Amino acid sequence: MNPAIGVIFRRELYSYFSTPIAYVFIVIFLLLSGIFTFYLGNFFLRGQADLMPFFMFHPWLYLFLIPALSMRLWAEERKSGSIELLLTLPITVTSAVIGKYLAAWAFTAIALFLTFPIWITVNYLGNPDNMIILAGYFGSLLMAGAFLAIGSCISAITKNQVIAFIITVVVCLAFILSGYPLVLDFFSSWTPAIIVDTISSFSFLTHFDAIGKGVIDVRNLIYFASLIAFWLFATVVLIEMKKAD
Amino acid sequence: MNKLLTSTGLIVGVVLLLAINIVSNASLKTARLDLTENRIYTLSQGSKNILQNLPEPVTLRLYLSEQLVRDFPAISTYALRVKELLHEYQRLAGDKLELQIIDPEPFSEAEDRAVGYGLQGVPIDASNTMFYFGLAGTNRIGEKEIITFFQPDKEESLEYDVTQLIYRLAHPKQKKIGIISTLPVQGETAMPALGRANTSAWVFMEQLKPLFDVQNLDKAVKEIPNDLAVLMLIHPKELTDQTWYAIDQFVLKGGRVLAFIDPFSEADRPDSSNPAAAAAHVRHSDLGPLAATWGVELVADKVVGDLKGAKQVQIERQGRAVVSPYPVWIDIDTSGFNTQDVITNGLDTVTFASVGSLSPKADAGTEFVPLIQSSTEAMLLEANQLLGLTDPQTLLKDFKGENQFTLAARISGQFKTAFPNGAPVSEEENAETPRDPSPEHVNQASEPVTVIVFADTDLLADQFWVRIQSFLGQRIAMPIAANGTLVTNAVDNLTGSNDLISVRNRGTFARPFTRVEDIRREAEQRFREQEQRLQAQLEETESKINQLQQQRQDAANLNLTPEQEQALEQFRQEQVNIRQELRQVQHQLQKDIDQLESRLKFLNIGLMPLLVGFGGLALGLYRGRRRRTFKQNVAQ
Repeated sequence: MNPAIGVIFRRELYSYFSTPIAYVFIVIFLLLSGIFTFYLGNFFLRGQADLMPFFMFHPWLYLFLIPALSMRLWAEERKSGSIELLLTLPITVTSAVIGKYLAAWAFTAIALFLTFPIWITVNYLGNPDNMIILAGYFGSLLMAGAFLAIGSCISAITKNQVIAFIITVVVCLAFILSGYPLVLDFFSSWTPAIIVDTISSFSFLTHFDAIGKGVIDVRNLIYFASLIAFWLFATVVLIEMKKAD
Repeated sequence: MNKLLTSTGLIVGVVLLLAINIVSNASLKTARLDLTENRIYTLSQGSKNILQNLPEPVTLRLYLSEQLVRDFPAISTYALRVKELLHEYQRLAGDKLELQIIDPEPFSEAEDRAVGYGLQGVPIDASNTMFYFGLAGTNRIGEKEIITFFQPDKEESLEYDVTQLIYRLAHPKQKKIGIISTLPVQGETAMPALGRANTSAWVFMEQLKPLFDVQNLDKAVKEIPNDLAVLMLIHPKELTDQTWYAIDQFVLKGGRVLAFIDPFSEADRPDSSNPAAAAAHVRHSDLGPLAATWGVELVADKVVGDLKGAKQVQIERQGRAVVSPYPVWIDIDTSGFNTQDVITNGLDTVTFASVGSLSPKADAGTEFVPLIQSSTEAMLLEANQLLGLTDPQTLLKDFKGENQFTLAARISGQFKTAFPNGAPVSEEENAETPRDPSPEHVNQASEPVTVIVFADTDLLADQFWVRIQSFLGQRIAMPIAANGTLVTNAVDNLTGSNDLISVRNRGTFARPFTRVEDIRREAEQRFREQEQRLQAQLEETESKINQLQQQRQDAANLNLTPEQEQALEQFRQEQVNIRQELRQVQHQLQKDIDQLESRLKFLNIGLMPLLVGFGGLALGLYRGRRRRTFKQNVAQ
């Protein structure tokens, strides 16, 4: 791997923890996921030793928390002008994009890791299928990665973090809801069936649920990997184009 | 500038993204890794064996309303799963299995055909548009089997349902099983004179009928037909020696027996309109003369009591409805099953009622393998205690559970006959003249044979394992325990189709909070002791109050002495206190569980955020101080 990516990665990850952002984000993520699991998901009343009520809220948690994390990836650099400095350094835009992205992803992974008490809890209460839980965490991490890639691209378009946040939420919502009639009806009148099918197969929920069942399907991996690759590529393109402006 | 990094590049990217996903969705159907503990998403070996040995071709038609399914994301995912599973079936079966996926558009011929097969359409709006998601299978001789609608909540049994459908189509000739039963398992026809209405067949019977050719045999049968694959012996009481001999010979000639005997059959109710007959009514059954040669013994007149799996029953005590464990109605879960045996491995819960205890007889030379056992905290109770029992407390008073008992066993080996002198002579014939055994008489089995014995008949009764609901005039049985599956497993196993069994075993996936159940059980145990103690105290206090009242009346003096007055007041206060304590004890039962819940809520919602918050704060303060020190150092 390009050593520049490692440098950017470390710098970014360190910067998260040197500001209150990291702590606020993690605290809110943990609080909300706990509250959702126990109160909305009725974890305890259900009496089933699995983490379904925990994972089922992740898409909705990420919908608001990940854009808040990703909005500053590029918009902040652009606003403060540090992007110019960054791009004059002897590193490629691609390395910078990947490094920053990986740092944000690693940070989300840390937040996700800190939910481990729920895993201990469910093992204390019963005998869950731990491989299904592991698959759930893996799917959740992949989904967070996809959310972040979208956020990274949109953050590269604008200087304004609030705009970046709102647009990211809307795009991610579309990706969650695609597969629901709300989005499909919009397309079905004027596009051929194969496109509509593809759009419906682009729903985060479908793929996340599939992995969460404990089956790692190559198609789900390809979906998340191609999505992440595409949005990161778009980020690079947009930064290059803006630089040319 | 690199040409790729322009808007053209972006368009190429979008196209590539779509193309990759369309291609991967269409072509990569089987590349997946099943991480689940029971490999629930991988076809089991049983299914594979059945598919690879299909004796004749089978056609499957999946009717799926593709246009409508998109409106239901939950079903849409499941539809994909069903389609893939069917493709997997086809891949394994090769030419023997033809798969058609048909979209029955509204008001089309395809829809008419789906309805003709008996598939169930679900109306989705007021316009009579129906949504179809079912399977119709046919074989070469035109027989059909259907799954009316794939319900997502039945996903666990999806593979079994489909494999069974294919198996039935491919093996149209059903295996014969014979039944000798003294219980009305086939239902009873109305006998208005006795005030009995028509009753339906028991649910386990209804489950066996589509799978096997069921033949009823009379209790006095003198010969068991050779073509029976399995003989089911249900509550064999008061059989004649001739019948026992027929069963004996049937087994020695390679027949298989599934026996349900009982030290006390709750389902065998005496005729209440005739008290004399009711008093003489026999409610127990055993294996008669065969027990000794098969090498299995039922402990007579004793039933197993087990507190660990005891069912909770509601009874009325002093005008109050209370819940109490009833130790002779037992739920046995996985811990009591023999996981090595295909019949019991993977079962969920089986409910027994007044079950007996089986033990091996060492000198019989047969192999005795326990299939189902009680917990290790069980004891034997006198069966006649159960007659007219109103309060389970009577059974609990001296309960000391410290043994484990076998409730069902598989017995195999080269059985010997229980009738070495040949067929027993019936009363009408002359018993004086000794006869030579008939040439067909067999003294010992030439090959190892297998019988399965259950020490309970009530496990077959509907009340212990299904809830019957009426739905649009149809009886729908919702199982609450796996008794039916257990019986079907046992028959299936004895008829030899072990492949289907290995599929069925993947059954249920309930993983309950065992810890919470333990706490509840412990609390009940404690609650019961305390309640008894308090109840006794209360009675004592009340009798003291009555005594004082009595004294007052005897003395014909309405005024009590101040000492008496004081004592009475004291007792009343005590009475109030004890009542309060009793209520508290009852609250306590739920309290432990509530406490655990709130503790876990705190640990999961509050603890980690607090730690992270404090950690961040501490780090911030430390950094701030270091910065200040650094500045001071610089200033100096």
